[in-house]
Amino acid sequence: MKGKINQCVLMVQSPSTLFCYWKLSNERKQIIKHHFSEEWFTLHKKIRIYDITKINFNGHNAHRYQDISLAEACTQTFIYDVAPNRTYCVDYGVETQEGNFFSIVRSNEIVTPRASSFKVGFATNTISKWQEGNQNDPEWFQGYSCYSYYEKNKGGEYYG
Amino acid sequence: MVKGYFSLVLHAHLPIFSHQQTGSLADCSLFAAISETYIPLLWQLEKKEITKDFTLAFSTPLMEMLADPLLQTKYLQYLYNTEYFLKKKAEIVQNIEGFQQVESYTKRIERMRKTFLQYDQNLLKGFRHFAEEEKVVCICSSATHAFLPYLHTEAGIAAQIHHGIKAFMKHFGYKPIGFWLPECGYSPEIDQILFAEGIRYTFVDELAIKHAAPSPANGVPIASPHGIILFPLNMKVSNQKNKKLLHSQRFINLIKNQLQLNETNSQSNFLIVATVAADLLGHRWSEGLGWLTEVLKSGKNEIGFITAEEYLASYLQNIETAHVSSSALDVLLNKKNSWLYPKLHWIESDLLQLVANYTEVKINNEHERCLKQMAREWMLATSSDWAFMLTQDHTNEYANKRILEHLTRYQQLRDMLIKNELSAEVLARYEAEYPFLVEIDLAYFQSKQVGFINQQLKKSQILIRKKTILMLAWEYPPKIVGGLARHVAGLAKALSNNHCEVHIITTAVTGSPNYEKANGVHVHRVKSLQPLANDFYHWVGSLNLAFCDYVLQLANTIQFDLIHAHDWLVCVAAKALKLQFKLPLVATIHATEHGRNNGIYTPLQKKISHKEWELTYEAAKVIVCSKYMRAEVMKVFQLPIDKIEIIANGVENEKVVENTSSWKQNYGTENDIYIFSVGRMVEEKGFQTIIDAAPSIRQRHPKVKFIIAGKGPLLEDYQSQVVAKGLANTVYFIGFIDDQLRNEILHSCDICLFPSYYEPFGIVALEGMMAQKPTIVSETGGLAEIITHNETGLTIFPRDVQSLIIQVVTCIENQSLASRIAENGKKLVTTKFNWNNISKETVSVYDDVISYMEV
Repeated sequence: MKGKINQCVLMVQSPSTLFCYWKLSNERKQIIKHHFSEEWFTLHKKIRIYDITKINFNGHNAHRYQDISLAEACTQTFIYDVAPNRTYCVDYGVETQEGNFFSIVRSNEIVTPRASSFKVGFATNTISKWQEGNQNDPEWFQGYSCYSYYEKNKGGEYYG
Repeated sequence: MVKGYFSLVLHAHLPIFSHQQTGSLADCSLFAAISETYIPLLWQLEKKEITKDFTLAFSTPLMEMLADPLLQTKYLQYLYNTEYFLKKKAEIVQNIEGFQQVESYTKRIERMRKTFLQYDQNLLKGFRHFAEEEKVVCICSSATHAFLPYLHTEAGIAAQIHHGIKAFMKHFGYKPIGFWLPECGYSPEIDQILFAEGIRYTFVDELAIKHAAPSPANGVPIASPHGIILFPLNMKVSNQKNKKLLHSQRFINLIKNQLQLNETNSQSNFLIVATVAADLLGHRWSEGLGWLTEVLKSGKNEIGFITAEEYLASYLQNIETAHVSSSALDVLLNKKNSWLYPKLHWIESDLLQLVANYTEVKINNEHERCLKQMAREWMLATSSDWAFMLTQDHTNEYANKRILEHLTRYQQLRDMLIKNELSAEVLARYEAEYPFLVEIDLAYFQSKQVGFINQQLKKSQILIRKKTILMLAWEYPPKIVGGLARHVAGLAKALSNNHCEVHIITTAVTGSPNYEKANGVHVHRVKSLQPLANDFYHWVGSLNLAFCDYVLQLANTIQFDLIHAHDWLVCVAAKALKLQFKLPLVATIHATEHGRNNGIYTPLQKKISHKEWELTYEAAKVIVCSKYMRAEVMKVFQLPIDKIEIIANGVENEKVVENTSSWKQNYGTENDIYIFSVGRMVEEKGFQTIIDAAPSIRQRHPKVKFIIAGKGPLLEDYQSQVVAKGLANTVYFIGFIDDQLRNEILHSCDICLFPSYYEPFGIVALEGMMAQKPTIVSETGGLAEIITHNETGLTIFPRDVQSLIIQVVTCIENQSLASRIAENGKKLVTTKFNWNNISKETVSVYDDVISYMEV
C-alpha cells in the first residue's frame, strides 16, 4: 500500500488484549532523522501504551503507561494483559539519548469491553467528572528566554 | 403456560460469489441454500398456523444474489438439469425403494420450480409477500456483513449501515425498524448511526447487556444512550454446537426451564431471544426445517412466542437505559488475519479522501462511476466472512484469494482514476462480476467535518487568488514569550493588507481557538503530542512534527506559494515542508544562539546553533532586522551577503494608546521621575547595570523611580539584590505585566531606558519612541542603528555604569534636549519603522524568491 499516511491504529481483540499497527511515510522518517541528527535505523523504536480512562489526555497525564520495545522493522503487535473497561491509546515513537520517550504518532483511543457485571455507583459519580488535563507551562518554561534555554551549571552561574 | 416470552431470529447470510464462473463455489452454495433453505422456508410460511412467529434478518449480499437475474436464470437451469438427471435416473433404477426415492425427489424439485416461478424467480418477492401479510418480520443488515466495530471510520460504518437499509428498501418496499448487526458487533458510534437512520431495535450478545452500565435487570432488552432497543441474545439457547438442542422437544424444555426459573421474580416481560443461522435449517442440517416446524408447533402450546417488534409494542415504556461497551471478536482479529486490517483501513480512509477531493470539484460521471465501484470493492473486502475463513484451514486459500482480488481491484481503479485513464471496459467487467448495490450514495463516504472546514478555507481562495504564505512561528499572540510573537503578528497583518493571504502555524494555547481569522490573518494553533515535555529540544521536535502533520492536511485544501519560517524552532518543519511541497523558503533570523550566549558553550547550544545554520542553509533568502544582525549571521553561518536582506522591525502606532491610570500610586507620587524598562529577566538585557547605577542617580535625584517589567530566570535574583542594596524604594522589578498596563506605563513614564548587552533589534525601544518619550539605549546591535546620539535618543556604552548614570542625569536635567529627542524619535519611527513599508519590502523578497523557483 502506498500513500503518505502516518498512523497508529488500536483495535480491541478481547477485554484483555489489544491489537496495534502503525505506518510511517518516508518523509516522516526523514523529519525524525533531521530532528535527531541520526539515521532512522539506529533509533530505538518503542510503543508506549497509556491508560487514559476518563482523562482529557494531553500526552502527559495518563494514569499509567507501559513501554514495549520493538524490533526494527516491526509494524504491528498484540498487547496482552490490559484491563477491561479502561480507555487506552498508544504512541509509536523512539527513545531519546537522554532515555526519554519521543512520540511520533498517536493512535485512536479505544475502550476495552467490560468483562464483569457493572458495579453500581461507579459511573454515576464519575461519568460527568472528567479529569481535566494539566495545562500549566512545562517545567523548562521558566528557564527559557527568547528562543534559547538558559542552563544553570553546577556552580549556579548562568552562561552568557 | 409458563410466564414470559420466547423470540426467535433467523439470520440469513451468504457472502457474495462471482457471477461469472459456472459450477463455481457460488453456484453450489447459493443454489443449495435456495433449494434446501429459502424455498422450504417459504413453504413453511405458507402454512396457516404461522403467525408472526419469528424474525428473519436478511444480509445484503444474500438479497442482492437472490434478486440477480443472471443467477435466477442459472438457478432455473439448475432445476431443469436436476429434473433431467432424475428422469434418467428413474429409467435405470432397479429396485422399488430407489424408484420411490427418485419419484419423491422429482416431486420436490417440481414443487420448487413452481414456487420459484410463482415469485417471478425472485424469492424476495415471496418473503416480502409474507412480511406484508404479517406472517413474519423481515429486517435488514449491513451492506456486506462487515464486523462494524473493526471498520476504521464513522463514515465507513455509516456507509455500511445506510447501504444495507437502502438495499432492503429496494427489495421489500418499506423501511425496516430492526437491524441485524453482523456477528452482533456493536459500538457506541453504531448506536448513534442506527438512530440517525431511523432504526429502533437490534440484537446484541447477552453478555454485553449483562455488563452494561448501570447493570440492567436480567432477561429484558435495554435502551442504548440514543434510544436503540438492544435485545439480548441468549447464547445458551442459540448455541448450535449443543447437539441436545437439535431435538425440538429438548429445545422447548430448555426454554421452558429458563422461563420457569424467572417466574418467581414476578417479571411478566421476561424474554429469551435465540438466534439460528437460516442456512443451518435445511442446507447445513437437513432436519433443520422439520425441527423449526416442531418447535413452532408444539412449543406454542407451552411457551409464548413473540417477535422483537411485538414485544416493543407492549413493553416499550418499561425499558431502562444503559451504556453497552464496544464488541470485540477474537476470531475476527488474531494472528492469522490481523494483516488484513491495515490494508482495509488504508482503503477506507483513502476512499473518504478521494470522494472529498473529487466531489469538491464538479465530479463527472466517469469519475463517479469509478469511485462507486471502488466503494463496492472496499465493502466486499470488509465482509467478516473473509477474516473468519482465514482462520480455517480448508477455507483459508479462497478467502485469501478474494481479499487480494478486491484489494487489487481497488488499487487498479484508483490508479485509473488518478491518472485520468478510466477504462469503461474494465469498469463494466468489475461491475458485472459481483453485481452488488447498483445505487451507491457517495455522500455517505464523506466526513462532514472535513467537508465543512475545506469549504470555508476554499471559499477565501476561490474569490481572489492571492499570494498565499505559510508562516511558521512557534509563538503568536496571545502566546508572547519574546519579541517574535509581536513581530509576526504585525508583519502578518500588514501582509494581508498588501494582497497576501497569510496562514500562521503556531503553538496551541489554552483558551485560544485552534483556528481563527483575525485581522485578515488565518491563525492555526497546533497541539503537539507531548506539549509538556521537559526536554526543551525534544519539545521543539514534537511541535515540529505536529506542524508537519497539520500542514499536510491543510495543503489538501490550500495551495501555498511560499514558506516563511521564523527562527530555528521551526527549522525541522520548514525543511520537511519545503521538500514535500517543493516550495521556496524564506527565513527570518531574529537572533542567534551565538549572539545570545556570546559564543557556543554547551551541547544544547551547539544543537540549536546547528539548527539555525540549517535553516539559513535551506532558505532561499534570509531576512534580518539590522546591519548588525547581517554581520552576525555572515560571521556565524558563513552566509554570502547577497542571500541576506535587511528589513527593519516595525512598531504599531495604535498599540501605544494613551491611557491614564493609577499605576504610579503603587510606587510613589505623580511628581516622581519614572524611568521605564521592560524585557526578559536575562543577563543580556543589562538590568544589572541599572541596579549598579541606581545609588548614584538616587543621590542626585531622590525622586527617581526605575520601573522594570518582565519575567525570567534572573527575576528573583534581581529582586533580592534590590532589597540587599537598600534600593527598594528606587528600583522596582514588577514581573510580568499585561499589554494594557505596559502601554499605560510607556505612555505616562518620563524616560525609557534599554541597557542591553546584546540586542539584535530592540522593538521595545521603538515603542518608547512611538510614545514620544526620550529613549536611552545601549550602543549595541540594532539599537545602535536605530538611535543617533543626541538626535533621536541618547546612547550609553553597554555594561558601563558611569555612562548610564551620565545619560540618565542629562536626560533629567536638560529638559529641552529631552523633549527634542523625544519629538525626533517619534518622527523617525512613524516613517521608517512602519509595518506597511516593511510588508512591502517583505513582499518584494517573496517575489524574488518565487521568481527563482519559476526559472
